[in-house]
Amino acid sequence: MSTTIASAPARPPRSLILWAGLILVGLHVATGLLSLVWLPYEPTGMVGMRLEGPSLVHWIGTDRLGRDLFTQLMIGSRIALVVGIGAVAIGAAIGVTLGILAAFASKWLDDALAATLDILIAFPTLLIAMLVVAASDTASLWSAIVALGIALSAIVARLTRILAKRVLVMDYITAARTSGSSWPKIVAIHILPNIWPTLSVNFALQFGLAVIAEASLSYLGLGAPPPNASWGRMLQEAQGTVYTAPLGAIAPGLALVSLAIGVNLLADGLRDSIDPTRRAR
Amino acid sequence: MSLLSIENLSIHAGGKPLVAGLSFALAQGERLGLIGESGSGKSLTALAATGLLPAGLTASGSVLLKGQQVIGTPDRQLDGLRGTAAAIVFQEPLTALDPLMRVGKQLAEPLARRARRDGRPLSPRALDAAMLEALAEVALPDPPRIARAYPHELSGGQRQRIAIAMALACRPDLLIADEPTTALDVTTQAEILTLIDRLVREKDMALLFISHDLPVVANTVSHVVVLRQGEAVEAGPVAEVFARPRHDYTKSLFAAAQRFDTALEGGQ
Ligand SMILES: Nc1ncnc2c1ncn2[C@@H]1O[C@H](COP(=O)(O)OP(=O)(O)O)[C@@H](O)[C@H]1O
Ligand SMILES: [Mg+2]
Repeated sequence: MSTTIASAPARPPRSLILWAGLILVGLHVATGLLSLVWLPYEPTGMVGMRLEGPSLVHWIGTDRLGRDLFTQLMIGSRIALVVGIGAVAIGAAIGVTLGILAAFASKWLDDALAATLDILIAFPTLLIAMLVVAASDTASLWSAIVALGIALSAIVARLTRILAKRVLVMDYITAARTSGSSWPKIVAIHILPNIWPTLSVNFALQFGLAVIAEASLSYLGLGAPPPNASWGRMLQEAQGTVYTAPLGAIAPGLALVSLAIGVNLLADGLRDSIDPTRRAR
Repeated sequence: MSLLSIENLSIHAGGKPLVAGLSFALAQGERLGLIGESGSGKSLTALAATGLLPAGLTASGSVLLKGQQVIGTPDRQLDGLRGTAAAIVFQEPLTALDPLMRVGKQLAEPLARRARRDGRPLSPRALDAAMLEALAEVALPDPPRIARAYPHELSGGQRQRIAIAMALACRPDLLIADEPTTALDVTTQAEILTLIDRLVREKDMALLFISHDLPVVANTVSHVVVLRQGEAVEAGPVAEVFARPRHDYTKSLFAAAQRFDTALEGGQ
C-alpha cells in the first residue's frame, strides 16, 4: 500500500507576477487615497501657464487651461479604481447569480438565458454602457459605473454558467447529494469555491475593461465632469494638442495601461496562491 | 420488507431507452452484484435508485428505497431519505473529492449532517474526533496528516478510502459501490475490496456492488444480476450463475475474462 503523500513537481516561483501586480496596483491605490487628503494644486484652478512642459513645479506640465496635469492624474487613479471596483462588483453580483440560476434551471429556461446572454455579449460592452448612460438623464460617475456593471454582468453570467455546469457533473457533487446535502449548501461550499479561481482572473480582465470603457465614455463626453475627471477626460482634452504637448495624452494613457496590467498580474498571482493544486510548495 | 426494491425500472434519454424493465430487490444485509460491460446501464441504475439521475433522463417503473417511492418524488422530499438510506462510492477517485477542500473538512460535512439529523449535533471538537476516527476506520495511516491534505496530495487508493469513509459517514443502510476499484492498480484493488467487505460486514449494511469484473464480483457478493444493454439477461446466486451461465452474453463475459487472464499470465 502506498502511504506516502506525493509531493507536487517543482514549479518556477510565481511570486514575481504577484509582486509586479502588487506594486503597480499599490501605486495607484496609494495615489488614489492620497488624492483624497492632499493634492499638489487645486484640480480646477488655472495654476500655471497654458501647456507648460514638465518642471519642478508642474511635474508633468499643465493642460491647455493651465491646470496641473499631475493633480488630474492623481484624481484619475481614484476615479479609475472606483469605476473598476464598482463595475466589477455590480457585474459580479448580477452575473454570478444569473449564471448559477441558469446552471440549475430547467433545460428550456437555461437555453433561453444562454441565448439572451449570447446576444447581449455580441454587442460591445461600450455600446451597452452608452445606451444605459444615455437612458439616465445626467452623466455622472455613478451612472457610468452602473452602466458598465450591467454590461459586464452578461459576460460574467455566461462564464459562471459554464463553469458551474462543469462542476455540477462532478462525482463529489452527486456524492454530496446522496448524503443529503441541500443545493444552497452545495453552491456555497463546492461550486462557488471551485469556480472562483477562474472567475477571479476574469474579474481582473473585466476591471481593466471597465476602466478603459469608462475612459472611452469620458472621451466621448459621457463620463463624469471635472473636478472628478477621469483619465479618459484628460485624453479627450489633450487630443487637440497631442503634437505640441504630447505628455498630456501620454501620461493618462500610461496610467490606464499600468493599472489594467497591474490588476491582471495581481489576479494571476493571487489565483496561484489560492488554488492548492497550483500553489508552489 | 426489502431495503431496495426495483420493479420494472426503465430509463429513457429523449425517446431512447437506456435501461428497460429492470427488476431486483435487496434486503437488509444482503449483497448483490450488478454486472455488465461498459455502457450497459449500471451507473444509471445506481443513480436512479437514489433519485439522482442527470437532467434530461427520465425514469419510469418503481423504485422503493426503505419503503419510499423514489420515482416521481420531488427532490426536496428525498433529501431526508438520501442521507440515511443509501450512499454511493464512485469509480473515479479523482472526481469523487472536491479538489479545493481539505480532506478532513470534506469528511466532516456528512458526519456533521448525520449527527444533526439524529438530533445530537456534534461540537467542533467532537466532530474533529469523529472525523479522525472515520479516517482510521478505513485504515488510513496518520489520520491527522491525511485530514490536512488536499485530494491531489493523495494516491488514488487513499482517495478512494476517503470516498468510502464519506459514504459511511452517513451510516447508510445500503452502500452502493459503482466500480470502486476499476481505476486502481491490482494491489490497491484487492485492499479496497477487503476494506469494503470488512466494513459492510461490521456495519451490517446491504451492498449493491457494480462491476464489469467477474472475479471481483464473485468474491464480494452473494447474488448477481447480469445487465446487457439496459436489460437483465440473467440473475441468481453467484455460485449458480458462475458455474452454469445460461445466457450467451454471460458466457461471453466469462470467456473475455478468461482470455484476459491468460494474456496477463503470458500464455498466448
Ligand atoms: N446523461 C446522459 N444522457 C444520455 N445518455 C446517457 C447519460 N448518461 C449515460 N448515458 C448512456 O446510458 C448508457 C448507460 O450508461 P451507464 O449507466 O453509465 O453505463 P455503465 O454500465 O458503464 O455504468 C450509456 O450508453 C450512456 O451513453
Ligand atoms: Mg458506470
